Amino acid sequence: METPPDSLLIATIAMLIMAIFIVIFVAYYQHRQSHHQLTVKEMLERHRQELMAAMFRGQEAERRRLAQDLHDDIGTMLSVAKMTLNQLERSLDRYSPERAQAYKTRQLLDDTLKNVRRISRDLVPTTLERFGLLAALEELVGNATNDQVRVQLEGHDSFEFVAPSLEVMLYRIVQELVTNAVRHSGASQIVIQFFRHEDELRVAVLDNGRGFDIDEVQQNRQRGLGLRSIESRLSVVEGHVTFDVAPGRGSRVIVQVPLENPKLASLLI
Amino acid sequence: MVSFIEALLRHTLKFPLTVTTELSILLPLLFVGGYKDKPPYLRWVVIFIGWTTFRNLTSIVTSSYRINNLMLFNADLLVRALLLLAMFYHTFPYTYEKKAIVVVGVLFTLFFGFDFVWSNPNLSDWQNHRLNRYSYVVENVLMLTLVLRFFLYLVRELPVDNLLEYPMFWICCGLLIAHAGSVFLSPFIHYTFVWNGTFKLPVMVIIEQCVEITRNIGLAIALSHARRLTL
Ligand SMILES: Nc1ncnc2c1ncn2[C@@H]1O[C@H](COP(=O)(O)OP(=O)(O)O)[C@@H](O)[C@H]1O
Ligand SMILES: [Mg+2]
Repeated sequence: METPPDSLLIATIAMLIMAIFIVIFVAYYQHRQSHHQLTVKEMLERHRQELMAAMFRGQEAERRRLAQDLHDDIGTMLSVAKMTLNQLERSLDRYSPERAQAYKTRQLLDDTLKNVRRISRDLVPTTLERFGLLAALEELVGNATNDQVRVQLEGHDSFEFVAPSLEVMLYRIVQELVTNAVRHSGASQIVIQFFRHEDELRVAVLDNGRGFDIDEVQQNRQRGLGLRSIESRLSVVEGHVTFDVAPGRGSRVIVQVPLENPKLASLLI
Repeated sequence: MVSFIEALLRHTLKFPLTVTTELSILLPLLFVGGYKDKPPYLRWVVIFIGWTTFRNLTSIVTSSYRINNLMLFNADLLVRALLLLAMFYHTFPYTYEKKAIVVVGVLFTLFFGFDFVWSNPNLSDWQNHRLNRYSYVVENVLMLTLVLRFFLYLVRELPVDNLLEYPMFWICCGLLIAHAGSVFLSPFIHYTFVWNGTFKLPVMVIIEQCVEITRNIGLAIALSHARRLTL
C-alpha cells in the first residue's frame, strides 16, 4: 500500500485557502460591481429628470414671453385701434350705414381683445404667481363653469401641504385634466379633489361624461399628447397618474405626488 | 433489533466524525420544500440531497454490519456528478454551454465505465471491490471548473443583485470548498481506501470530512434562501 506524501496535506490546505479567497473575492467584487451599476442607473435617471425639468422650465419661459408679447404688443395695438374707431364712429352721422359698420367692427375688436386677454391668461397663470395655487384653481373653475357644466373644487385645507415648487406643475396638470373633461367628455359635472394620503398629495379629477379607452389613446402616437405630458411632468417628481376610465362611464384620473422630496422639487424652480 | 442498534452504536463510537459527516446531509434536508415556483435547477439540488441522504444512511448501516459498500461509493460518484451536471445545465445561460455540459456528462459516464472495469479486473470479487482509480480526480477537476466558470459569469454579467441571497452562490461555495479540499486526496484514495484497510493519513480524512460538512451547510443555506425568496 502506498502512502500519500506529507506535501499532499500542504497542497490541500493551500487549495482550501485559495477556494476561500475565491469565494470572498467573488462576493466582494460582485457587490461592488452591482453597486456601481446601480449608481450609474440612478445617475442616468436623475439626468433624465433634470432634462425633463429643464424642458418644462423652458416651456414656461417661452409661454411667458409669448403671453407678454400678446398682451403688450397686440393688446395695446388693439386698444389703440379701438379708441381710433371710437372717434371715427362718433364723427359719423348717427343713422348712417357707415356708423353701423363701425359699430360692428368695434364689437369684433372687443371680442378679439377679450380673446387675446384670455389666451395670454391661459398661457401664464398670473393668479398663480400672485395669489397661489388655490386662487389660481378657483379662477380656473370659475372660467370653466358655464351653462352646460358645473365645476367644483374640494379639499381647500390640503393646499397648505403643497410646496411652492410643485404649484406650477400641479396647476398645469389640473388645467389639462379640466380642459379635457370640458372639451371631450360632455359631462355636466366636474369635480377637482385635493387630499393628503400619508406622505403624498393626491389630486383627483372626476367627471360624469362619456369616458374613453385609455389604452387606445396611449397607443396612438398622435393623440394623447396632453395626457402624456402629465406623465412626463410627474416623472420629474417621481409621481404617478392613474386613469380609472372606461368608455361609457365617467372618468376618474388620480394624480399622486410625494410630498417629501425636496431634492427633486428643487429641480422645478 | 437490539443487535442492530448495538452495531450502529459501535460503529458510531468507532468513527464519530464519519457518521457526523454522513448525517450532516440531514441539515439541508430540513429546508427542502416549502417554496413554490422554484427555478428548475433547485429540483436537481433536491434530488441530489435526496440521493446523498439515501447513500449516507445506507453507508452507515452497511458499515455497521461491516459489509463492503465501496460499490455504493462508486455508484455515488457517477450519480452525484450527473445530478450536479444537470443542476449546472439549468443555471448556465448560454446554449453552447448547456450543450457542452451534456457532452461532458456523456463522456464522464463512459470514462467512469472504463475506469470501473479497469479498477476491478475481477468484477465478481465482491469482497475486494475497489474504488475507481481516476474518476474521482476527473470529477473534482470537472466540478472546480464548472464552479469557477459560474463564478466568472456571476461577476461579469451580474445576473443577480444580491449574491448573498442567491441559492446558487451558496451551492457553488460549498462545492468549491468541498472539491478543493479533496482534489489532491482523490489520486490516492484508490490505493489507500480499500475495504478493511486503514487509511494512512488521518488528517487528510478529517479535512475531507470537514469540507463535506461545509458543502452540506452551503446547501442548507442555499435552500433556506430559496424558501425565503419565494414565500
Ligand atoms: N375626461 C375625458 N372624457 C372623455 N374623453 C377624454 C377625456 N380626457 C381625454 N379624453 C380622450 O383622450 C384623448 C387624449 O386626450 P389628450 O391627451 O388631452 O389630447 P387632446 O386633449 O389634445 O385631444 C382625447 O382626444 C379624448 O378623446
Ligand atoms: Mg387635452
